[in-house]
Amino acid sequence: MTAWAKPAATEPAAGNQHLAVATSGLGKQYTRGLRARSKWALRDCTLEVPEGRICGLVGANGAGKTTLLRLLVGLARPSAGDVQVLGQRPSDSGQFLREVGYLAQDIPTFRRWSVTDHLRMGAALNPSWDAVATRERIQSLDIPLDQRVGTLSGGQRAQVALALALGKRPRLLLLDEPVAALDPLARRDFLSTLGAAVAEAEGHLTVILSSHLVADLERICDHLIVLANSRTMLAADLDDVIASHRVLTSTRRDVGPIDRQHTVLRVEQTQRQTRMWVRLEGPLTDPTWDSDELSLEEIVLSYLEYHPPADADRGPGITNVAHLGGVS
Amino acid sequence: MTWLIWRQHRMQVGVAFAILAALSILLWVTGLDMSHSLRGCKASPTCSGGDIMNKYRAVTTIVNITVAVPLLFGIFWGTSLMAREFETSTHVLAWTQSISRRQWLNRKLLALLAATVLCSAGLAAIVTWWWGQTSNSNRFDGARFQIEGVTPIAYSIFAVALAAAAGAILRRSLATLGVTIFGFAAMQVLMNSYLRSHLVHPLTALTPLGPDNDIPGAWIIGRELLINGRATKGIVQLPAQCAGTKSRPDMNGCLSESGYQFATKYLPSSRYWTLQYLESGIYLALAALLIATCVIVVRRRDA
Amino acid sequence: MLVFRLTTHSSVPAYVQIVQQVRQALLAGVLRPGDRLPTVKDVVSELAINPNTVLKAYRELEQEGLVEGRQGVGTFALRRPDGPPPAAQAALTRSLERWIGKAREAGFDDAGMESLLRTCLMSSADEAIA
Repeated sequence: MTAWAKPAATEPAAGNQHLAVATSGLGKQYTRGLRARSKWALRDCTLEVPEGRICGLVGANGAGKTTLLRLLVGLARPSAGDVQVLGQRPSDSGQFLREVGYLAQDIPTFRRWSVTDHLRMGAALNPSWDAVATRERIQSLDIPLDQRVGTLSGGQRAQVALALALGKRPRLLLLDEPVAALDPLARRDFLSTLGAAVAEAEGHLTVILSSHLVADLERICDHLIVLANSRTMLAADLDDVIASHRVLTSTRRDVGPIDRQHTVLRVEQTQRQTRMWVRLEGPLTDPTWDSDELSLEEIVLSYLEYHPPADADRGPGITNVAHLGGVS
Repeated sequence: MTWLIWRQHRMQVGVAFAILAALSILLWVTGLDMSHSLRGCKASPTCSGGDIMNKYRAVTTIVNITVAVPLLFGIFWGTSLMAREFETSTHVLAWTQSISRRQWLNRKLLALLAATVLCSAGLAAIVTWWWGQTSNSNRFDGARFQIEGVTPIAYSIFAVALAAAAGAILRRSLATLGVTIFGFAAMQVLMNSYLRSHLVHPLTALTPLGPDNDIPGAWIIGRELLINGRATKGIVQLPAQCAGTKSRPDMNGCLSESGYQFATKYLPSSRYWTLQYLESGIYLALAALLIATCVIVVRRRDA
Repeated sequence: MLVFRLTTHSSVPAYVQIVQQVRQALLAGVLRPGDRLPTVKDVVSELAINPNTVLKAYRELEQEGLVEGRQGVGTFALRRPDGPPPAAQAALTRSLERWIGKAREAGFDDAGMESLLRTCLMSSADEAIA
């Protein structure tokens, strides 16, 4: 074990205890024809995202990431449960849409339009448009304003779309796998621009960013949501996540005592050794276990492979949500 | 929003109005020329209106082709209104700015329908004027009923509404195109071959056989042969006494004396506008239904 | 202008790395009292990390009395932390660089060098106690 200091819990900005997003039992169902059974794209989703966070949304493909984001911006209506975004239900009104920015997965743009045309559209459709800052942001990335968007590189197009979404100065920004198709340099540039925008906003901009590249999320995010099988596995501050997840190693023995006190995500047992990936629900009282930190990637993988026990609704297993640390 | 609608549709609207302008100039020039020639012709005993009109055959063909214009509105303007927008997901871009779906949809529909009315009305006006310069005084003749007056405006609105509704439901350009063409053609066929003749109650007149049976300016819906006041069915035998006649006029005269005449069902030219308004009304009512469908589908469905 | 570098996948949290680099810069004289630290926005642009990480680092430095945050203007260095004088710092840095060169030639990688350093630190701490 290293002797480095443990990370302090992130303190929210002074006086800013508001929630950007709060969902309760949120679900979305798609019907396929009249006779086929309907599929739940998202089920029993209960989570909270405090304001000012950059929140990573992780999950396998089809886990419900896109569905959740579309529900938050109002492009889809919930089949069950409740969702509150910036204190109100998503509605088809200028007043709500002004505050929420959205970047869809395929980055829709008008391919034949120039960058300037897109900026013009932003100015025409958004009363709170910041024309000067948006143009500067794009020019500082050396993107030519008169070029057709269809001929830009993937990274440049993503940056233009990001600038468009930020241009109306939203309070919440939802990004659906914006960097999935970008090369590492373009990815880095995109996340830099995003982080800089959040820094500039000084706590007034919340970002939810879905991705399956955990390394990126580790750097830029301070909050994490994990979805698997259309359910919420985890929703907590990143520091708390890292601090509370451990891999316990010991000579082969019974997992019962640990299982009763903490949440076991995965167990590997060989003839000689027992290894358990756990989420600590309290202090680890048994010193005979070797406890090692887990990387975020390993933590996320454990959740993606995790299958809650059949009686998950009773007992200490993960039901649908894990609230850790100060998030209540 | 106005800027957005303009920017998205400026090419199509521009092209359409440019074509309208070109056509207008062509028809105006030829129309004046034609009416001048016809006036001169009337004064002279040796010339006939038909000969003059022959010289303008090409322009006449162009004018008659404008019967396809309403469908073109549907194909070009209608599919870009909804289908292409959904197909390229640009609606997501528009719906996540600061404007509500409802506003976006209403303004778009209003703008393009208004442009459709303007453009088709302009074309109908110039075509109506042009035909008025000709020697042909029957407004029901051929395609004239469909390209003059207010019917072409109603057809155009219907075509655009059909494409909008199909686009909102199908969200694919190609499929919408197919539905628009098929739906529009089906409606036109239905109207032309059946509905139109039933919209206004026709008059019946007894007319003799031969060239005098023409009712000027009227739409001849049907003719029935009567022998001594009784309707005939199927193949009719020539009466014995007329078997020997040699020339057509003599034959007609003989048959008339034998009690042969036509009961002609027709619509007089005084009923022209009633029929125009009724037919247009049907198309506009359908268009209203389609627009309502489009609005409901777009507002209710997930993006 | 002070540029930060972060080692990803290190057991040292990012904010601690920033704190250490600011301290090093102050010790070496690269950053002098009164100089302005890079803004949060600049650091985030450069490193693509979360702004709160930088804020946390600057707050910790403020608590140690090494820097001072002025609202709307930026964060400014206050004083040099306790440590060897710049000349000694520079000399030690040079001999360390030479040692690193030799260790690399001998076949050590970064992790190996780190663990060797740690072992020596621990044994010298034991000696100090003894």
